[in-house]
Amino acid sequence: MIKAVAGVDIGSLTAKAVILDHRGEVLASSIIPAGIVNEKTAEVSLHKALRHAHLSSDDLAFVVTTGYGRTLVKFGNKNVTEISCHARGAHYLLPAVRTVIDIGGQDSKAIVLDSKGKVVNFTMNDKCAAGTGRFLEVMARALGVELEDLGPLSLQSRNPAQVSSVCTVFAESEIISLASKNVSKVDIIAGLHESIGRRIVGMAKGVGVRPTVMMSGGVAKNQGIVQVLNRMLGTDMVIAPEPQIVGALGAALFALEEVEGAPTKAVVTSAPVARSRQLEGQKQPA
Amino acid sequence: MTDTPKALEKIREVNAGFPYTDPIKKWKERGGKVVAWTCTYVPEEVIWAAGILPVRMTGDSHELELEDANAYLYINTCSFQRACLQMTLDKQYDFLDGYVSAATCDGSRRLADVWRNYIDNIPLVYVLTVPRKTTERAHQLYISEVKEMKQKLEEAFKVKITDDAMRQAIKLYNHTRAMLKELYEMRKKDKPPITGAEALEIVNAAFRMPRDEYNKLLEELLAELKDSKREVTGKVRLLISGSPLNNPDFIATIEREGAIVVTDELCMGTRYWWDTVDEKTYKDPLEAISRRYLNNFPCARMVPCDERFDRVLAMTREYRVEGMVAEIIRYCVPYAHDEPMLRERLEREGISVLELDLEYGVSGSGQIRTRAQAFIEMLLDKKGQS
Repeated sequence: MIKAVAGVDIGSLTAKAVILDHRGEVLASSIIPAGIVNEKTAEVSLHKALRHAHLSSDDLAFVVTTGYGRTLVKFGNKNVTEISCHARGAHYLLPAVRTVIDIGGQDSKAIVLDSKGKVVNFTMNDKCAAGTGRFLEVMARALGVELEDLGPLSLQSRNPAQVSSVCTVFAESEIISLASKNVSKVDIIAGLHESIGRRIVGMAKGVGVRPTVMMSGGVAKNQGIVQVLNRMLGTDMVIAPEPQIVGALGAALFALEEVEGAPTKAVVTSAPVARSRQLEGQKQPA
Repeated sequence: MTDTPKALEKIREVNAGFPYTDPIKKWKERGGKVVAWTCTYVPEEVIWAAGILPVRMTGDSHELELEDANAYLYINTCSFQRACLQMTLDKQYDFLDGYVSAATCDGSRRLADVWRNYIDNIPLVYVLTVPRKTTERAHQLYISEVKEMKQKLEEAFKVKITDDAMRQAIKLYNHTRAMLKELYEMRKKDKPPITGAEALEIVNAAFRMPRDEYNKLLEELLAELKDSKREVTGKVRLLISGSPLNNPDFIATIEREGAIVVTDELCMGTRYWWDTVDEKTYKDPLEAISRRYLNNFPCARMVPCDERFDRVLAMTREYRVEGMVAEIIRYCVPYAHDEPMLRERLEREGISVLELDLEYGVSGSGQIRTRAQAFIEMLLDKKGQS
């Protein structure tokens, strides 16, 4: 019997890993923030999760990679797109989910799935940071506010400012000019959330939002955005318990599906000799 | 898949010289004139019958920096027209003696306006008016436009376009259409002998060399493919729809994710060659040509749009298409607006649609790869269920 499988989601701003046992129970997970996600951070994320699970890379029967870096890294037995992985992860967490809205570091997507967790339709933003985690990061910095504080602050607003621009660059100058007119930070942040909300809702309506809606991705941690989306979509979204790992969870579920037939040997390192020896040294649980 | 057919290698050699390909160079060295066209509503036979080489003007097979074109064409002109203008401003089309376009969309018309007003380096820049309907009145209008185009060609190049020359041109061009039809027929097989990317390379060459030479290459290719055991496999059968697409790498990117593109509804594909000129009904060859061009597989700018949708749907059945990839060039207004309606009709028939909103010329960006891969995963899942 296999001991465990893993899913690794190599996103634009973070790398995430999830380890599942043979029954599909989550043993451990990890999130590694990184300026530029590369092979190394992806591996660090996987090994961090392995340590939490008191397992070594030898215990993994299969590894699926996903996210924008899924084909850039050399480890992993298979890669599956983040679209399919988010659908699968969301379905595992709550089978009633029919729409997933995922807002990650550099992309946002809306996925419609069926009762089996299979993708029926999807859409993604194009090459533009508007309406993504990156957009919020830039705005938080421009306002001198911590990223985590955006949500709570925006909820205090009674009069959200009008932020018309959807372009990250223009929105930044727009909020600076609002600030110089003494519009409060709270109202500016609330206005930004409205602007992101309109963009996401426009995209999601294109694929046809049906209940139950789950929100995933790092931006789901922002209560302000969640509230705006709920109001605009007329839904009460379920927020994934740890919204950043839904993709990695889905990847791990695909890995489990692969080994249910015939267990294989997992590929967990990119450089076969040197790197694997290095990993040997990390075997003891942290 | 076995070796590349020799004729395909020759086709690649022609394409490699784009835009000033070796066959065009030879034509010019013999003192021949070359007239470019951009839109499929420009009747090539009339140009050929003047003893002039018609070549299709396109942008390059990669995304160009459009800084010069942006100075002349408003930014929401589609990137296809701006790419054509950029190459013109870069002097890559300096071998041309004339340019004929059709006012089928505003982008198409404005490129001609800019050429006439700011570049003005060739004896003929002409724009055909093309009705959006195919009623008898529309046909009469279009016939009179083609007549005027003929007259302009005759004046600019001091030639006489005879009925006989037009009849011969019709035969020559119909032969191409029949052969491309035969080539596409082979793609109906479970394992077609060519990829979708290769099919686009083959059609591209039609725009870049004298027609008699191109026909010889096609004859060779068909003979080779008939004898070969070449088989291309893919997990799902796709149709690519869209406006101008010259870039085989774009299709290759999708095919690399495990699909096979078995047919298309592209300006550089079926919509270029699908219908033939009726050689029997009309006494006047110019009328026969004109009627074919207006009745041909319609562009999204034509009304009613159902004619195009019906043809796409028929094609999905004939080619057993499982999914359609819609390539929408940014600011290609006719295609962008028709897309949701076409999508609805296809989805009703159980055919999924992937919409890719892009700039003209792009190929394998990570964004396209992710979407294509996810689309194929979705189609495979769907098959697993049924």
